[in-house]
Amino acid sequence: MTDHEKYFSKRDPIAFPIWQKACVGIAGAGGLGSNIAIALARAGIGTLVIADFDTVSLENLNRQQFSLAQVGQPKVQAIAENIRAFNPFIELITYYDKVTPTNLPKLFGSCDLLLEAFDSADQKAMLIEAWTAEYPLKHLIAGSGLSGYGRGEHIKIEHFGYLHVVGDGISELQPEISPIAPRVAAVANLQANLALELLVKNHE
Amino acid sequence: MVRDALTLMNYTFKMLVIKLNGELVKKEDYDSTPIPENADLKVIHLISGG
Repeated sequence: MTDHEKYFSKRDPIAFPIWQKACVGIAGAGGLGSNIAIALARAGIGTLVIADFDTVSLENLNRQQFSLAQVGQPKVQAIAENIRAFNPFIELITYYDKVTPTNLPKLFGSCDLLLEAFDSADQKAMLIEAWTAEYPLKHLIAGSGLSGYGRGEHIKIEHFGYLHVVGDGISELQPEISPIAPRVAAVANLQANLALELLVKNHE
Repeated sequence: MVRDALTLMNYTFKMLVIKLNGELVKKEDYDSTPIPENADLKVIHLISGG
């Protein structure tokens, strides 16, 4: 039995209680999503809602937070397992399902804010349109432009009201080459970092 | 209309998010949404990957 007090010692006395009460949604559990989920789980978000229709494949392991033993498992199941291995106190709600404008309220309606972690630009656009229409006053943090390696200086964070976009905004996926771990994780962690900030700001 | 601005700027329409004076303009409304004088038009080009 993990000692609750010891586990949560040395946390930011003002921000941490806010994060503990928060419910954060992550649309996608792949490169961005799995990295975001782990960062937020470590930081102490109380409830994470994660949706992804895919299973772990071998080639995912170059950037996604899964292990060899998990190949073939639904990503949401695998990420939940990996999170519970270091955070036994978090509440995890997972959906092995595709996110659509129709099911958006059912999946993420109870979330304080949403992180976009899809792969295709079409899906990113769909989510942004649908979320903004349904929840115009709830923050959405998207990722756009993260493929390749190096060029860390080009990663930026842009704010458009309740929509925020992290990434370099230009790096297209190269044919037959998947995104690479450091840059993906950098963008994902900047998204997660912004989520922590917005939760505290919202609370003020 | 928003569509005309996109044509002028040479944007592919599929992978965009548009905010006009802070409000999101849906894809289906690009042809029917006028751009007022001194409008703040933000065109966010979304890139695949993640």
